[in-house]
Amino acid sequence: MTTSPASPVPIEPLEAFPLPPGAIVLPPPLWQQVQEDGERELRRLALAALRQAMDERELHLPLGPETDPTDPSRLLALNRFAVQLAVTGMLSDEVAVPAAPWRDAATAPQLLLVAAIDPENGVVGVPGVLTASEVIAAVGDGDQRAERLVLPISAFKGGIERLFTLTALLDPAALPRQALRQQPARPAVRVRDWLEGLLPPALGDLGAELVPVTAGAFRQGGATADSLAPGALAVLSIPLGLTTAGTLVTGDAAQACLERFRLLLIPTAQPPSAATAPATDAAERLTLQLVGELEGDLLPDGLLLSASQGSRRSSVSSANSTQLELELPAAPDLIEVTLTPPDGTPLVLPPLQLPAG
Amino acid sequence: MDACSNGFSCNATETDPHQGPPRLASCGHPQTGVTSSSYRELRALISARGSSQGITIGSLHPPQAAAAAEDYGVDAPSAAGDRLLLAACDAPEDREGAFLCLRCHVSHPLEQKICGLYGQFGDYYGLDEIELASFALDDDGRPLDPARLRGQPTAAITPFTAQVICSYDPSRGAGLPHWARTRLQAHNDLKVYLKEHGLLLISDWALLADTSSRRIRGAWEVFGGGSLTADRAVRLHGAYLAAYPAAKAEHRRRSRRSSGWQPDAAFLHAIAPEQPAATTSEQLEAMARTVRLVLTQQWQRSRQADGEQADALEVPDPRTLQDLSEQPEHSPADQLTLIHAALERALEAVMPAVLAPAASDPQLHCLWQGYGEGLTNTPLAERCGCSRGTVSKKLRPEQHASTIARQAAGELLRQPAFSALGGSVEDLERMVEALRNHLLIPEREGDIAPLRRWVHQHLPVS
Repeated sequence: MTTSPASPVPIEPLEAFPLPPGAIVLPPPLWQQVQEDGERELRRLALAALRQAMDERELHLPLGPETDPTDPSRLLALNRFAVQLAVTGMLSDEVAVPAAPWRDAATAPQLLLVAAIDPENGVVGVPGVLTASEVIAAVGDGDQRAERLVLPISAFKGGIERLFTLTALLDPAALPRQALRQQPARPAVRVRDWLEGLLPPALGDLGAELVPVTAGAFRQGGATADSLAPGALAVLSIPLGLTTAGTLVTGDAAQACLERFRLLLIPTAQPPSAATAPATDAAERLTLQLVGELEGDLLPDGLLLSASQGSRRSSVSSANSTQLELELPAAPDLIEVTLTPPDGTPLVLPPLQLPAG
Repeated sequence: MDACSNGFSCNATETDPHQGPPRLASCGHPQTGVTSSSYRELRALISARGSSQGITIGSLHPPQAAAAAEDYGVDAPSAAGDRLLLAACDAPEDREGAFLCLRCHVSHPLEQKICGLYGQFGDYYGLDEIELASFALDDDGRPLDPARLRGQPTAAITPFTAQVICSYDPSRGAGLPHWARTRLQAHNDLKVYLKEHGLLLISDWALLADTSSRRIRGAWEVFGGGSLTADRAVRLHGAYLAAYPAAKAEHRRRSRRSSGWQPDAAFLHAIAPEQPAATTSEQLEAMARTVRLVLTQQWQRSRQADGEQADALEVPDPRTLQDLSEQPEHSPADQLTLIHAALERALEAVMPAVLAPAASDPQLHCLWQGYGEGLTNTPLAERCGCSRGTVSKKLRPEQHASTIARQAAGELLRQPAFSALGGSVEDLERMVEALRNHLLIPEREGDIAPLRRWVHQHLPVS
């Protein structure tokens, strides 16, 4: 028996998994013998499931292409609609969608269909379908130059019924083809440069100030850099303000706001202890602090400070708070920091690079 | 103790003919609830007076197992004891006794898994505990020669305990109890049985392949333990994900089947060369267990929500079709007339084929009849003698309502009053949803929803 903080009642690991609602169970001759290699086999099963689902509903929509339909690079043609079929595992929580079809608006898909497949049991689930505009919104500010777009399964809604409703009834012109926005890649900011007193332009544009520890203690209401975070090697401070309209502004614009606060980015070393050697000057962590302009000031409620680093995600929000803090270790993955006001556009910092060692 | 027909002493479960079929009281010790294993006690299906099927899960104590355990000096099961007995299975003298000890040993984790399945899903999915047990606990305790059995194709070896031991490869790193559970997880007949009842057996390896690094980290941070950190778990999982596709493709190429892949020592070493393969295997299995625990929580929450929804009284929503009829250029009354007519024609087109099988299927007829009378899932299941899972699987009213709504919408879109709705995703989906909701939800308190009413009026006589 196992318990968790969210589940004080003992729980046992699932021994089996319920078929998802609406899952299509294929007859054994279709799946017991593998007929194609790799992803082609999964697509073959997905297409068989689509046909079976249409038969069950007496829905006779033309489904193509007729030539090489299991080719993963080909879009499906379902009743005049261009549909990208992405396949994933039955229990997957995300799907990796090939991004190539989304580069050219003239030939981009109109719909993205995801099929969750269990080839060992011959079962195909359809979590849902997204329109092109919904795909673009789901990708958001993610890396649109990646070869594959990783989307959470939870983003897909409506199941196979939504696919059939849209393709059977909608005017194809109502689903325009759209390409992903071609945003230039944002160069990563090297945190270790701060220790040399180098303020990156991307952060300087936000009005950031940089105070290396060696240049003197950073003073904020009497606090020193080391008292802000143990082992602090430098402090990069971004002045922020919240306008009356709820917009987040930085730098000089923040000075005109009634609500003013600072985002502190503090690379820290491992602080010394009695049992270990004295601290080195190598940055081993990055501490993020959101504080009021003056010590003890309350932050506006509803601010969300979040950071992601590879698979690690953490966030904290303000509610009657004087400080928000997150800490991330030095690691190969870039650090993405976002500050989101209650009803406004988030501030996304350029990616931060703090590798270990 | 009750002497069983095969001459071995055995413990039958407590039965009381006045209480009906005995519950599965044999999962672990009744007093402590702790399941133990043994080289002397074989968990198996045995005859039992008072049980409705005449058999139940109980214990056998084959004398040859006790004698072999005594001879080899093995008491409580252990990895060392397993190794000793496995080696003895290859020796010319008394390998049958050593083999029987191991069969006793693996019968316990097999029973645990069966009990786990039944405990989690038996009620809702209508699983039969004896039928479940028959896939794994079919050993009657008679002496068997492992050398002769190994000459057969593995999948053909019976009883299942013998198949587990004959297929066991210690070099893969898994212990014998874990191998027993893994082997049962891949039992084709058990898979078929569970799938018929709406459940899928998915191996740890497939589960890990389906899991993102984000989920691994989240699951390990909540349920993991020991010396493996979340960061290390994520890295190991990443190495597994990178190597899995090629290994699986090779398996498919050789066997022409998707199922049955297990990581071997070479695979385990390749993804974590700095540690023994057995350690890597244990860590991966531990990670899979934490993911299963996360999914357990999600499943319990969704089941609670589904149960509340399925048994909730249908709240009337008179606005469902009114939203559609608010097209300013056309009279609302005319539009409602068109909508009702289209729905009626769609019902006539779709539902006869849906109901036709009920004429020759008494249970299906019972279910549709109860549905037409307004029963929700739980009383339907009780009336027709099936599980709630069966009710959902056999009726599927939401799916049929979607098909009917889509058909009605197709007709309405050809009308000038509604044609514009086909030019907008939001408008179209709102229309189809309104039609679907109208079919499933009554318009007024005390009414029956149109789909139920149609079924009640048109269900063929069985």
